[in-house]
Amino acid sequence: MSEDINITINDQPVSVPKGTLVVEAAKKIGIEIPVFCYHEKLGPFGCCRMCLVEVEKMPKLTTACTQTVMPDMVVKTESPKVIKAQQGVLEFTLLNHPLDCPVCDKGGECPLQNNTFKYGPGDTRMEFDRANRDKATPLSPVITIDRERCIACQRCTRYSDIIEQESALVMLNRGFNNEVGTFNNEPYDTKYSGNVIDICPVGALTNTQFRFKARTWDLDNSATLCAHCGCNCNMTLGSRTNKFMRIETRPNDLVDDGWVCDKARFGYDFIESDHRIVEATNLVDGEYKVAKTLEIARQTAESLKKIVDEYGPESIGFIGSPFGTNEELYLYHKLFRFTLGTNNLDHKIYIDTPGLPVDHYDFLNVETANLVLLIGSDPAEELPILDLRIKKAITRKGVKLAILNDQKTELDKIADLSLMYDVGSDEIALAALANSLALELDIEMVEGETSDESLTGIAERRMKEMAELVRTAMKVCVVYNPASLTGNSIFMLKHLLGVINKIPTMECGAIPAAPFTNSLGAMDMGILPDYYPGGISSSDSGKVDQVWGDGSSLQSKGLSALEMIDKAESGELKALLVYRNNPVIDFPDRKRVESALKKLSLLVVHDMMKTETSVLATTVLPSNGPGYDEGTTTNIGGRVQYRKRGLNTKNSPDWKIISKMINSLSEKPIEYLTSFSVTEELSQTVPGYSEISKKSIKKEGKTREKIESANGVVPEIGKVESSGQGLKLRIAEQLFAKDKILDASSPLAHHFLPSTLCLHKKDALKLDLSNGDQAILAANGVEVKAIVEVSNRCNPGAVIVPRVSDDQGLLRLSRSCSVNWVEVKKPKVE
Amino acid sequence: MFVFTSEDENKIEKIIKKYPVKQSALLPLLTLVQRREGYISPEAMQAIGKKLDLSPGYVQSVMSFYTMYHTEPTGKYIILFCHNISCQLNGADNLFAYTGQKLGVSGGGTTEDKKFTLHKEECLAACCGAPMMRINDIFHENLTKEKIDQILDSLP
Amino acid sequence: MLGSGALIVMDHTVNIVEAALRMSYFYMHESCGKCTPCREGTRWMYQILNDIQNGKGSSKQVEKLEDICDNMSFKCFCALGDAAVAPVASSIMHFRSDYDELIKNLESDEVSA
Ligand code: SF4
Ligand code: SF4
Ligand code: FES
Ligand code: FES
Repeated sequence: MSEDINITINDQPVSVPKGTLVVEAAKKIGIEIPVFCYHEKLGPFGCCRMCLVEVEKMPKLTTACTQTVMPDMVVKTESPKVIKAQQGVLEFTLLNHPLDCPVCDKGGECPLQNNTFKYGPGDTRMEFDRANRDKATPLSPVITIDRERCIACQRCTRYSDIIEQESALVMLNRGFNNEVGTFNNEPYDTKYSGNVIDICPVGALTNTQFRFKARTWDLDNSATLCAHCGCNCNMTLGSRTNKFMRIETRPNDLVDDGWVCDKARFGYDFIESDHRIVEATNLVDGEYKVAKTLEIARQTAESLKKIVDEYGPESIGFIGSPFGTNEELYLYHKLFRFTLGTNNLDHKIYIDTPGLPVDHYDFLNVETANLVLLIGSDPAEELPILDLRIKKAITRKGVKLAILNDQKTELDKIADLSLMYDVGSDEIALAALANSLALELDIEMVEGETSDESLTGIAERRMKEMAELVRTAMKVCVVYNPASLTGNSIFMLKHLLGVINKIPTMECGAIPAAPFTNSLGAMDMGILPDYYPGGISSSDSGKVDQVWGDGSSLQSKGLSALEMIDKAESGELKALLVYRNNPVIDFPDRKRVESALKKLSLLVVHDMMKTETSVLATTVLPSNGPGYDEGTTTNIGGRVQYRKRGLNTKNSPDWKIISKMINSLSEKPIEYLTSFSVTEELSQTVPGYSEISKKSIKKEGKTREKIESANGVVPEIGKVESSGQGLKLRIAEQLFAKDKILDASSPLAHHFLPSTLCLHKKDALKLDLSNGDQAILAANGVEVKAIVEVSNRCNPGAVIVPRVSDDQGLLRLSRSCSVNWVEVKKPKVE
Repeated sequence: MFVFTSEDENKIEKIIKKYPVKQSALLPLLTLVQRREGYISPEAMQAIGKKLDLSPGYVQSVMSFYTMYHTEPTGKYIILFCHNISCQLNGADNLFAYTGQKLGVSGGGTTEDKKFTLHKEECLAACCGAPMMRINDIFHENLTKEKIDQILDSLP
Repeated sequence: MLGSGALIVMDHTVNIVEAALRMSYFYMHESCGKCTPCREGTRWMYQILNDIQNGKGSSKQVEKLEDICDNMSFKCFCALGDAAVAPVASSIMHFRSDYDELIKNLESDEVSA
């Protein structure tokens, strides 16, 4: 390890690792050296000159933000020379800075104000008019730039270069005329643009939504989490008189590395949306009647119980949500499994199982691995802050990147090797890689032909290259998106993980990167038909009884979410409770889902937004949702963190509603005082969560213990569906889509894409379609319009369609979670 | 639309090969376009960026740093008129004003017939021949009004 | 240090303030704008020299110029800032009378006006 170096700063000794910057060494012993341009995530730059210090034996003052410590260095930060220099630099910095403080949004949290106050000259000697520049012009629909206020520290431009790897925001022109801008004055609208607002040390870059809304010192700030994707970035929600004001970063290096994406910062309008469900209603004679929430909860529980009594526990089901908190989902698991006695619980339409045959890696492991192997995942579109972390690992930490996907993604640009398999051939592609590795290891291989290029579109030689990268990496972090895998491919993926783990001296871990906020928590809390919380198989009655008490295991095999729809259609399922999920839009084949749901005698929808499903409900319960709710979520790295309430509401919290349902059917009711009472209980019952407590997760969260995957046999390759007509459909998730969370009036509307279909040029040629043409996607008797993009984003034989809005109704085109076929055709000319 | 000619492509390939990293070829490529087109359009910046894996914003940031790259179409002859210390002491200010008047572009700019673009420039490292101006690639030194007349009038 | 290893010889007909003004314009133009003292300092010095040259200066401003020079010297990111200081500082040091003359003209003008 690197040795420590001893130096003294203002006569205080400090010992820091070699390579530490003087400014950081000073911080360590509580000595502040003022800075503007320096930012720990951006590294040294040395342009503002605010941090000048005196170092003995150096002829000139030096910048503490670029100077690394040297043995026995003697640093002075308060000598007369330094003070004169600081005053001089501040005078220069303020020379042409407008006197905007009273009306500036940065006021009260402005490093320029603070430094001036502490280190500045009392007065200005500037005798000329300050230079005028454009005031408050839009840099994008969500960021306002005031170029007069800019002190040219280049934090924002370096952010765009180093962190985003986009170089979208740049310094234009030169000298006194330099200005922060973009190519050809285009909007600066990357997915993570808003972070520049937080790092700008002055009020030059401001949040357009928040401008002039409140003074920063009047805000009530809540240390909470973003609830939009599986990263669970930390953020601060600022409010005033219980009105939402703004979102800011709340750096947690173990999760977000100090950033949030624009969906976090500008995607919280739904908090005040008119489409919120705020009261409980019952459908009585065709009309929704409002009643007390907890009363309706009690009635609902009793109705469910009645149906169980009459038709048996298999006649009811629960479709939960990967967006709920652990506490809410845990209580629902209790309600349905123990109070009502059914295993019919699920939260998703793809196949996934809890647990990993390798370590469960956290975000930091992305940086410390030697190779990141990305499978079926598109972090830029699905998990933006994971995307930034991978970029950091690859561009600044010397980590290699290998990508195996059925579509081209942004990260291909910086990948060492990127292979594209045919849509729907994921199982064989994964088997091919596993076999390529297993061959050398002399361990059992997947049976059948896997290496033939015609099966996957990947030449054997290329797959060997990938195997070689993996084999020689020593430490591999596999990031995969279970939601993008078709059919049973998840089992092949886990087999591959197991094989990698058998490579001698290999350290391997994985991040199951499902895009949704709490997919991992939903699995951990047992919202699965075949697994109890903590990955205990429902069929393992011994284990179930051991954890939950004798008689807790249920005889019946549970139904998956899609099976529940089937059974609803056939009339065998009588009642369904849908929690924060919208099967009508998010499940395949809308028509069938709708008619199935209509057949139910009881459809309870517990949600925070009105949806296409909630309008079919016989009972609607309000869910508070992010902003108003509180509880823990488990991010894709297995880190459990606390999502704090940001705004107050009179409505009952979800956990209270669910526990009301449980209690109204139990002889021994359990009263929880807060959401943490539920956390405490689940930490005692859910394997892996024993160390999770209010205290242990407080600072930076805590990873739950790894959940073992059931010891798998080598999977077989399923039958390949080749019978379809037309092209194979691949739906690509988009975090910035026009859905219930970001609606038409969202400040992020500029990110909404038109409905687009991406073709390989061979198929485009066959179909006689070219870039920009209107085309129709047809399947299931449904047609979806889209604009053609001939981009080779996938191999021939398939079409990639980004899911850009709920209105697009893309899932109407599919029938199942395996391969779906669509016809792509030209629109009829009228 | 801006496209590189096949001749450009050959040159570019050679230029890129000269450097250990592609990015270093940025200034030569900007110069190539500036010489051929007389200015560098946004489309050209995009094309250069594509060639070198640089964002168009980055290309523009570099380009806008240098005064000898132009963002607007220029005349057939670009006159860079030195007005730095040596030339100024030898009367450059008057001569610049004279040239501007003569061409009908006082203060600099491009003539209506698109023949000349006149610009002030900092020291062009020909102080011993001050006052001087540079027209395209040629230096003209020890200028007088008469000499300027003669030079400008002789240009086709 | 005027220029890059070159010598420029000026006779007594040249007003040194005008020369310093011209050179400070050059440095203002050449400043890349990266670091604060150079970006702001070169421009401020130019503005002040411009005042003095145009008969609007005061002796206080000459002292201020000297202090600006001190605040820039060896505090910039690169040597351009130091170079920019040189013509101004040395012209004041060696030809203060040229400055005073321009300032006195103004002061006597003001008296007679
Ligand atoms: S806009 Fe802000 S962050 Fe960007 S250079 Fe100016 S002061 Fe720095
Ligand atoms: S990356 Fe995900 S969790 Fe992080 S801020 Fe964006 S949407 Fe929220
Ligand atoms: S903080 Fe050190 S130069 Fe800006
Ligand atoms: S000053 Fe004109 S060439 Fe040097």
